[in-house]
Amino acid sequence: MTENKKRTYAIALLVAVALIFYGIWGLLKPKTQTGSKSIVIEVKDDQELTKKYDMKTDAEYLSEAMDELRKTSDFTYDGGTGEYGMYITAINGLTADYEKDQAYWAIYVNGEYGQYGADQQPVADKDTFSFVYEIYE
Amino acid sequence: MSKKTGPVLDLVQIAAMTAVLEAAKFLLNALPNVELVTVLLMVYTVHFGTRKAMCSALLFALLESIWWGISIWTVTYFYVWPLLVIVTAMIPKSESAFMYIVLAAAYGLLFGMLCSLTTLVLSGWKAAVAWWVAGIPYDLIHCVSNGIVAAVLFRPLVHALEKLN
Repeated sequence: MTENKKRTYAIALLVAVALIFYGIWGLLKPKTQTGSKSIVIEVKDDQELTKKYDMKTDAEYLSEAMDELRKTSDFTYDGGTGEYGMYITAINGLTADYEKDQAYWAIYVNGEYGQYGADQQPVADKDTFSFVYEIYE
Repeated sequence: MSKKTGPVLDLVQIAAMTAVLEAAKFLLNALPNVELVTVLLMVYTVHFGTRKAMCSALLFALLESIWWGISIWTVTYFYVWPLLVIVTAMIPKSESAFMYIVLAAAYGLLFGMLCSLTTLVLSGWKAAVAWWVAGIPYDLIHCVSNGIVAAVLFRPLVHALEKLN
């Protein structure tokens, strides 16, 4: 096989796999719900005190609902974007410093440990999202 | 290619290689899905040989675990980076830099899938697939950024190390 042919096949294979992955993502990505939804956002801090926010939102993803909530209440958050999406470093002024004591903010969706970051977590009507300050053990 | 060296020099080289990996990771921490670890480990494998590159990859995984604590993603480092060294070593030395660039891009694309193997073991296939699928857009970025980084740096780094010899 000539060098040029080999290069063409290698690039074609890479692009094909990338397109297949993109297709899989399109088919299996978490589905969102449009329109108005009533949801609850809870914050459980390091003292295990829980603060509850009831809200109505058109947000399709949790991060959008969080942005709305911080405009209309005392809810605050800080975070950034990592290798696999958004991560949260502080909520309501409480910083979870993983480097210091392996603390992090976990997201629970209707009581189940969340599979997605806040920017990929779909919002459905009657959902309860809990941000829980946890220490990795 | 690597010269015959004594064990002390080998240790010094491996320590320096690992320090460069750590520094490169730290420098680009702020840029999600853009990293130099892939291209550096490929360069190490080509120039210093599989044994030293493997030692450096494992030492890097160990240091990351000490620094960040043992977690799912630090555990993945113990097989993801050594696997890259093995795959790089399988490319014939006669190949042009192009195949290494393709490998770097492919590794970025498959990175999430490889990392999800830990989730598969710990939480089952449903959680692993959900985790992998959620990360596909980031893997696509990783693929493109790895390809660009390798296209820019692979050959110059190999040449620079050859000159140092």
